[in-house]
Amino acid sequence: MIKVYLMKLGLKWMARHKLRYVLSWLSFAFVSIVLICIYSISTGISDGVLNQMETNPLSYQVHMKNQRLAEGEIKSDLTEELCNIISGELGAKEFRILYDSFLTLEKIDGNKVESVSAISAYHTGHSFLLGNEIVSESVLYKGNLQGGRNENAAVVTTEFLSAYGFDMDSILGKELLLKDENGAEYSFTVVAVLYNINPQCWLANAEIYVAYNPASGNNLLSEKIIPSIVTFDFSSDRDMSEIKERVTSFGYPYSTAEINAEKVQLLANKYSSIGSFLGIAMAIISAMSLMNSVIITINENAAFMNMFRLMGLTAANHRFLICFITAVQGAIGGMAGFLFSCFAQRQLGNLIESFNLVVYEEFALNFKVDIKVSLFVMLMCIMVSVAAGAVSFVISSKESTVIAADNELV
Amino acid sequence: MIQLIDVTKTYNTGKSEVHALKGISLEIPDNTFISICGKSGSGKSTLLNMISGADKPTGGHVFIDGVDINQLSDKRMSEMRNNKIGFVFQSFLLEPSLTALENVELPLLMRKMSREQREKIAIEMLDKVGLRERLRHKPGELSGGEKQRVSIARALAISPKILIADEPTGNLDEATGNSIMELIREHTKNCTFVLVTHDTALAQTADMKITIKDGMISRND
Ligand SMILES: Nc1ncnc2c1ncn2[C@@H]1O[C@H](COP(=O)(O)OP(=O)(O)OP(=O)(O)O)[C@@H](O)[C@H]1O
Ligand SMILES: [Mg+2]
Repeated sequence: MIKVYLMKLGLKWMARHKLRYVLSWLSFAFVSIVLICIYSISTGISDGVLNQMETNPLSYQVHMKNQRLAEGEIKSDLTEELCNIISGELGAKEFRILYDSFLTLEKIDGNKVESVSAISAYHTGHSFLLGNEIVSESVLYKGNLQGGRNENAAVVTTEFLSAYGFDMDSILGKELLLKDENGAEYSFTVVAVLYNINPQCWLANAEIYVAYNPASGNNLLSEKIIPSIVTFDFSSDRDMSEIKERVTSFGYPYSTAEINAEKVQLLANKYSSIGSFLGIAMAIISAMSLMNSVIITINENAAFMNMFRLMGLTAANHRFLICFITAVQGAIGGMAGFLFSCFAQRQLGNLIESFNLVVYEEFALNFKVDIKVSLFVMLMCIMVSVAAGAVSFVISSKESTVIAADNELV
Repeated sequence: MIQLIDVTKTYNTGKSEVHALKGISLEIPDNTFISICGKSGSGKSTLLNMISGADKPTGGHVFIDGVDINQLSDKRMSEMRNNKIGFVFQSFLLEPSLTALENVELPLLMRKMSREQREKIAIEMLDKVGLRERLRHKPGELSGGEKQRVSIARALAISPKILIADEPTGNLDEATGNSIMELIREHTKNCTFVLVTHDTALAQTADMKITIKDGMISRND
């Protein structure tokens, strides 16, 4: 009951001095906007990844690479027969083998290609992919990858661009003419450029792996075609972590979509720890500004509070009053930050996009204020402000004792 | 009964020490009117703070009804004050945002008393001090004498065993002061009344008269 009364009294004091607290409201609002953004992005990323993991058939694939380290050298001794055995042992639904084959780049837009550096190319789930090394960690692209598989579309990497003197815009729409070892010609249109992307699924869904090395000339063309990547498909009720463990025993490097998820999760964690650091720093500054205002309030009402203490108010209840006042300030700031974040969700999303953070695009740009995150942030604001109240109480109670008569009040 | 045994108080202000009380021993029987006189800075307010437990003595003991109050926890001390001691000061120490009625209710809040009960007692008290018509007024809307009446009503609301008053008429003109004093006397017949005053004539009317000089009792009769 006395606590309810103290709350009312605290609210009265605050109403009397609301202007004094505006700065702390603003700073707590700012803290919560930043934290809500950062945490919402990172939980968005984590949730997105988990969601993908569950619904994406890629999550139930294992990609094995035909490159085994044995007796100090790299061996490519994975045969179709061996793949069959492995598939049986793992209980895979099916498996697909990707064979290396060789194409040479003859013409770009009808013009003969003069100098040819090393090129690798992949048929991907979407199209054809050219590059001069294995596709790096990337998923960002310029151009068009929508609409599923397109037999005659090519996707090139930035390495390809620099090798042939194009830039991202000028390569789009260009015709590529390639020849295989039997002289058959293949023509592709460049639909997209990949930059700084990833995951194995690109490689995994590829159909041809093409390597052309001008230094070894035609010799390469006569080499035997060998399996390069094998993809094992599992049904979605399988425990992939158990399968991964068993795959390890075959000695070939492998990858799963889960590994990517882990990477993204790591990235998300990084963002949220940067956010936490920023948040704590800003919260401390806000707390100090709040302490300033609260100490003034305490001192202003010291005479009355001392009288109140003489009338039997315990020190604990006195502290409760101060902490309640500061908690309300924190809550107001946190609430304001939350409302502003909801209100300006789109603008904040655009702002975040403009930072061009290297996150998986679809997660980063879908910024949405997360309610759970917002509640957490508000709780944090309140806790910080309560702590500020407790510190203010200690500081101010050092200054004046319970002697009431010193201060003139009314 | 209030009992002080060799109470000393030294304020340490960092640069220098102020010996405000230099060994005070005193016994105040129940239901006594005791007046404390002395020059400004002689230690009167400090002595009151020792009696009420508002501040701890540097040395010595203060017993109220046989209990060494400085051995009490903050909670017990607060309870003891709430149950036994009423305070009236020169400045009235009313909360400006509360009405006269609400100000008087304050000490009753600390007891688990229902709202109706609190209001009933507070109205009764304000009635006694002649402010029946001013219940809903805020301190800013009252005169100095009226404010002091509110603070007296507040002190009396708990039916204190001890009423401590530090120059209660110091901020009031003579006529108002006299009526306030009369009011207090009227309601402290059945309690111990500790009064600090500069008014020697008033002090003479007390059962016990003490004069403090340089932190020591110079006269006691
Ligand atoms: N909190 C304090 N810190 C340091 N010195 C103090 C403190 N309170 C009082 N004193 C000193 O103790 C001495 C006694 O003060 P006290 O307030 O008891 O005097 P008083 O007799 O009540 O005077 P007055 O009649 O002016 O109210 C004074 O010298 C005063 O300066
Ligand atoms: Mg004094």
